[in-house]
Amino acid sequence: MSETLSEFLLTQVINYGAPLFAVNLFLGALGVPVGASFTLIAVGAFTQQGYFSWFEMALFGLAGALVGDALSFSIGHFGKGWAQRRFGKSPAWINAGDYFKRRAWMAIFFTRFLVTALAIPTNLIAGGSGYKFSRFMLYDALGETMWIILYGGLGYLFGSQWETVGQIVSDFGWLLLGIVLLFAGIRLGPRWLKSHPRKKFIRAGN
Amino acid sequence: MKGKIGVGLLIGSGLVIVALFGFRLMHEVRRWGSPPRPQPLATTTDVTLVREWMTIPYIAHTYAIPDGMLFEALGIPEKNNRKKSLQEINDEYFPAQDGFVITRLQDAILAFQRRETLPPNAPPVTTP
Repeated sequence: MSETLSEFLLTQVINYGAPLFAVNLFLGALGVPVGASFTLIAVGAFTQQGYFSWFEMALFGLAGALVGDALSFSIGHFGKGWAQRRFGKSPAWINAGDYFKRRAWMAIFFTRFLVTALAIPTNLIAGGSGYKFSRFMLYDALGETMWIILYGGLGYLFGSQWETVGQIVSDFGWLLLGIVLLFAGIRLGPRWLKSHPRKKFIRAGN
Repeated sequence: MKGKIGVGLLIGSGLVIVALFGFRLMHEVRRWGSPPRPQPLATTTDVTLVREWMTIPYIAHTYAIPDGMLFEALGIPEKNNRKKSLQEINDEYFPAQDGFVITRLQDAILAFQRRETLPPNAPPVTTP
């Protein structure tokens, strides 16, 4: 997270309220390092103070995040042609597409609030794999609502400790990402070994 | 070969991230103390929570203090300064004294809470 940028945006959220909060979450959904989760936790604390209306902030924030996700889905969708030309014949690409389609809802839903670092790649893959837009938006809206309730709720509950809570939540998200990568590597390893058996070198004369 | 490198990268980066952020998380949780006690911001009187990105009207709301009193404590006009962060105000009016605005506001809040008069030790304001 870019600290200066996120601090600048926090000042603007305090000054201009819900519209700026929506812009913040919109930029976050596009992958701009604005510290969207951090801001969401802060806004939860501000609403507890009565500085903002929680309903208005939640509504604007959700709208901003959904528009950003729809846009990054579209980027994947319109970049599909290039990716197909480049990787279309590769079995790994085809397998990855099939694998994603089978577990798409889980990937979309859980990357909104649990492994948020994978949200943008998920949006791009969903758009690029020809996943149905309406279905994507349904799981996206459910996941983003969960994100706003959970993270905003933490800020609301822990008030003056929201900075510490934000740091813990951020570290926890990264830890989960590490576990996902490790798990993927452990699952893919044996498959790779099976499809590439070790060549036996036969000595001449044997 | 590519697959082997990919699997190695996944496992390697996974291990590094788990070790790094696992350690950081453990450290943060320990520092926080247990059990965590929710502390609503609406009732805070703790002046150490004042940050550079905050604005004077927001601080006034947080500590339930008239914002005019905070502008007065800094000796700066309210007009055109309501939306500026404390860092911006410090850079603009007190460039020679890093962190002055935060310290002065903390003193002003504490004086207000104790119903005392703030000593007039604000340095001369630099006209921007």
